[in-house]
Amino acid sequence: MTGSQPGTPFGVARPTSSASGPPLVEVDSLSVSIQVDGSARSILRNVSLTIGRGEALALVGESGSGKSMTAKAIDRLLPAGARQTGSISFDGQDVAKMTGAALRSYRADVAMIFQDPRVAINPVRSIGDFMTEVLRTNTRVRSRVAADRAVKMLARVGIADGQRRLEQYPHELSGGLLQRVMIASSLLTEPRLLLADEPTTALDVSTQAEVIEILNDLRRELGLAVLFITHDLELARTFCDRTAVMYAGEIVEVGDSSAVQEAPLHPYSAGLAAARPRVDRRLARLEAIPGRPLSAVEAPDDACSFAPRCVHRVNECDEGHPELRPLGLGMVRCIRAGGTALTEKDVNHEAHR
Amino acid sequence: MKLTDDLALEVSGLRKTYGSVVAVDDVSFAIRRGGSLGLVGESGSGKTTIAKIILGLESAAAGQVRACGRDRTAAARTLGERRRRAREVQIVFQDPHSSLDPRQTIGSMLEAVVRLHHRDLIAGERRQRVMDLLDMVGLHERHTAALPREMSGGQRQRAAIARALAAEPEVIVLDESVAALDVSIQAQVLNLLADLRERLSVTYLLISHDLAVVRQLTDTAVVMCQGQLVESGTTAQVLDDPQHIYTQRLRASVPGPTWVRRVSATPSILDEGGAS
Repeated sequence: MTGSQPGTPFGVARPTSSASGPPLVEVDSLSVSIQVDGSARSILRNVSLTIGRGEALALVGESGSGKSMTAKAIDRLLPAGARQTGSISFDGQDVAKMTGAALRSYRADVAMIFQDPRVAINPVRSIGDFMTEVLRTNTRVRSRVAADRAVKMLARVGIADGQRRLEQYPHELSGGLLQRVMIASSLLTEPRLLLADEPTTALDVSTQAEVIEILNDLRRELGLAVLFITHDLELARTFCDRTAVMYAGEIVEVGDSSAVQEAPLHPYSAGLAAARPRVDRRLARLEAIPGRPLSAVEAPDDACSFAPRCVHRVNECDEGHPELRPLGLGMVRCIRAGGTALTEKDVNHEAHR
Repeated sequence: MKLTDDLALEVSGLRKTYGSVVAVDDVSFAIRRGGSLGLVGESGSGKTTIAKIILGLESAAAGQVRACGRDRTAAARTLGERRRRAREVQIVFQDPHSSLDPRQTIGSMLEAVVRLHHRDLIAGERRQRVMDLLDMVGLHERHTAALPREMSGGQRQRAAIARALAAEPEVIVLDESVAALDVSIQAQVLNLLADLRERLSVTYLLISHDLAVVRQLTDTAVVMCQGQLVESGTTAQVLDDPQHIYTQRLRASVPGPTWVRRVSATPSILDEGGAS
């Protein structure tokens, strides 16, 4: 990886190297609500994001923040009865309007991998059966050719004895191996976008490191764009060019991954970074964010959603819903960001010590 | 004799086999009273098997477990003995969603444990004790009437901690107890656990794969790999200057600024050949 390309530069800037036309994915003002007991419950609020060709964008947030739902919306996998406003376009085409052949080709262009490979793979079918199904049914490749391609793809994710693996069943493989099988199978249709929903959360740390490395290699080799969903800011930084932080169904900050972690603009991003214990030293006390994460349903439309947990809260925070606005090289949904907000916090903490 | 009295938990030469698989192979460690030890390892390393043996949920093939100076290797023969052992070691599991009874309110769950272990208390005193327990873990009086599903993940885990504390145990086994919590909630629970240890002088055995959590909550650490203990020492030593190659690789796998570059230089430690 030493000679790898630096990723997309900063903030809202488009990747200049591959700037042929619009970004690969453009999500514009996406709102999603589901019907619960006859009333609409909002789960995504006004989400806008872009993913450039070959770019890796991290979507970071806690449970219920809407990150998985955003990926599902892109993949047209929203639950039945969900109402969606706003638009999603892929390579300039409106995803919502796709039907028939266009939708099938979109499904081949967009691959998804999930957190726990054991849940996502049918346990009573062989690895070979699982991997080649998509080729046999969609592209009508003969089964021997499909198996050949599966073996080659397994080799690319570091599984050397692919032929033998194809005959095995999921329970015979470790979690790390199985996740690599998932990755390999998702790439068989040569997708241009990979939606990775916490792909390493269920894995051991050393296995996580290997899976991330494989994803990183493949991404560079294949020019694959990735939407990488994680709750771990640090992991987002190791893998992604840009990071978007979600809270209560909306994006509260977008920026270069290192910047979001080292110089966060939104108090919630700052809180997330500070709350994590550190492996290199023991902290006297972790800076926990008070309260609990809000779901989109509970979040107000006429005030800042994060205000009740925020150390920088002022009266104005409750007087209107903040817009996502450009600041420096990123974007932030906070009226106090920029000014002296975060420095004030530092000063306060110094005073407490 | 004095030395043994100072130990809250002592595991020596522990071995456990399942058929031909050796899950735990000659493992020994000890935690002094009020201490906190991190048991580090990946899935399949045998760390949860050790916890189960300590709690009496599994029996050892060989070796000995002592808590508060008393042997607990063999199964408890009497109800009284089981209760006494429960006052020695309690456990908090990873997922409170599956470790709490979905149909029992938090108050009734706690009161049942208090009644079991403090038979001399009258109803009013028991209720007071339940309130104290809730207060200790940062829950409110209104949570006595709550069912687990009416609480958030963080609150449920606090309730599980309160249940462990209700028996007033010497040792609490924390089996990945913060692993399933969101980052901001995990920090709150880690702070709570540190406070409780300071306040109650309770002893922790923390089972975790998360080295940062181990750093934050423990004084000493042992590292396990495939059933064997490969390294032990103070947590700072083990994490800052790991001696065993397995510990070194674990440490290098923690995400960090230069991480992706670093892991690619690390040789594979996955099961290349076998299908474990």
